[in-house]
Order: sequence, then C-alpha cells, then structure tokens
Amino acid sequence: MPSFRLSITPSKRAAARFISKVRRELQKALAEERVRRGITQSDIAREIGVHRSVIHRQLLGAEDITLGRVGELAQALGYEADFQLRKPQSVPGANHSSSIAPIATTDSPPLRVLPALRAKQTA
Amino acid sequence: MATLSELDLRGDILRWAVELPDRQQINRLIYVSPRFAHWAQTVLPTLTTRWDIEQTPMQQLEELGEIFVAGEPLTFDRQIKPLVHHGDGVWYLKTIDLRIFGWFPKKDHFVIFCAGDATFIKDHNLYHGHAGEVVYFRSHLPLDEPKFIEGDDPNAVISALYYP
Repeated sequence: MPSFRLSITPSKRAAARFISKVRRELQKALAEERVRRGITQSDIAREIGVHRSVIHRQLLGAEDITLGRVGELAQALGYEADFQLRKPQSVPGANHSSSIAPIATTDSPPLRVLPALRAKQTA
Repeated sequence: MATLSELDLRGDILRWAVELPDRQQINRLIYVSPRFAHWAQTVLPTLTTRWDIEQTPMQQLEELGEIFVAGEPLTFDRQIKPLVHHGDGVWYLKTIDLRIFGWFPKKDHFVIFCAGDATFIKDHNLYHGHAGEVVYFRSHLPLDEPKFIEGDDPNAVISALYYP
C-alpha cells in the first residue's frame, strides 16, 4: 500500500519537533495560568519589558524564541524552565522514530532532548 | 464507490504516514491527493519562510502533521484559528507560512488536496480558487457518501481542537 511521507531529514525533523515542543509548552502554560490567575500576554510582556506584540509573535511561531526568552517567559508565568537530555526508551510495539540517527556506533540508544516547564515551589 | 481506505489502496489518495515521536499514538488521520504529494516533493523543499524564524515551511508542515495525527490540540490559544472553514465543507489548516486546503470526510480524518505559500495565496486572492479545486476533486472522487461533514463548526470535524 503506497503512503506519503515528507522528505525531511532526521535532523530537520528533530529540530522542528523541539522548537514546536518548547513553544507549545509555553502556550500551554499561558493557557493554564490564564484560567488560574487571569494572566494575559500583556501581563507577561509587561513583566519581561517588551511590547505585547513581541510575546504574541513568539508564541504564535512568527518569531524565534531565544533560550533566554524561554527562561523569562517561564518565570513570568510562574514556572521554571527545565532542560534535560534523555535517551529514548525503546518499547516493543511502540513508534521507533527513524528521525533519530545513531550518533555512536555502540549499542547505546540515541539521545532525546526534552524541554519542560515546572511550576515553582512556593514556600 | 469506496471508503477512504479503499481509495488509499487504489492510490486515488495517499495516507500521510506521519512519523510520530516515541510513545505517541495515532489519533487522527491525514490523506493527501497525488497533486499535494507532488507539490510536497517538488515545491515545498524550495520554499523559505517569510518570517524571522528558524523553521522552514517544510518543518512547519512536519510539525502540523505530527500534532494533528497525534490528536494533540491544534492550539492552546482560542484567539488563534489554526483551522478555518472556507465554505461548502472546505477547510484549510494554517502554519505561519502555509495554507493547506482540504476537507473532512469524517471526523478526525482530513484529506489534503492542495497547499501553498500563505503570503502568495493572500496577495493573489487564491482562497476561493483553491476551495473550488477542492470541491471539484472531492466531487469526482468515488468516495462513499456523505463525502464531507457539512457545516462550519470546527468541533464537528476535529476532536480536541483547543486545549480544554
């Protein structure tokens, strides 16, 4: 059965996936804090010291978000940005992404990068 | 007449085999027309973003495919409209650089007919033309009736459109 696949390299797929993951984590945090505390993009922008349109473009994906800005946004939302490299768990029957090319010739599985926002622990 | 799967077997449409990350599962399906498949192979790789961003249109489409097929919310911001009804059951998905036209023969099943650069489409007022092409293709596809979900309610064509 023929199927369609995008001709995207594994590294470009990995990059797209990570960029999306970070942006969506921030969007999700804002959505949750909007419900919880009524926080808006304007509030975030004011705390960081930029125009609201900058925050809007960055969360929309119309402007790149620097690592520093990720930290600022997380803090303004009441979170801590966390970052870790994780080796994917190979589970029988689960998706095995061919987008991860082995970076070593050993039996070690390839590295995965996971962004995470953690809610701050209040005293 | 035929089901989506039967049309896929025949090659009238092709199922997009989105490569999902580990431990994600398929919750929605995307099929593409041969025309879109050809465009994705020949034109899409040449497109560059019109914004000050790292992601190429190809990467944006890859991201959209993964999010859609995995059943994730298309957006966390209800002010953003990632899915727009043009009319007559024709919908388009949006990335920052692309417009992707198609329809929903059943809920959570999207058939892409064509796509293009968003700015080009806007500047040349091509929305109506592309929608007409979708209608034509759909009407000539030997798909079982009803061929599309009627109405303009996005919640009728896709589950979990927004983050709850």
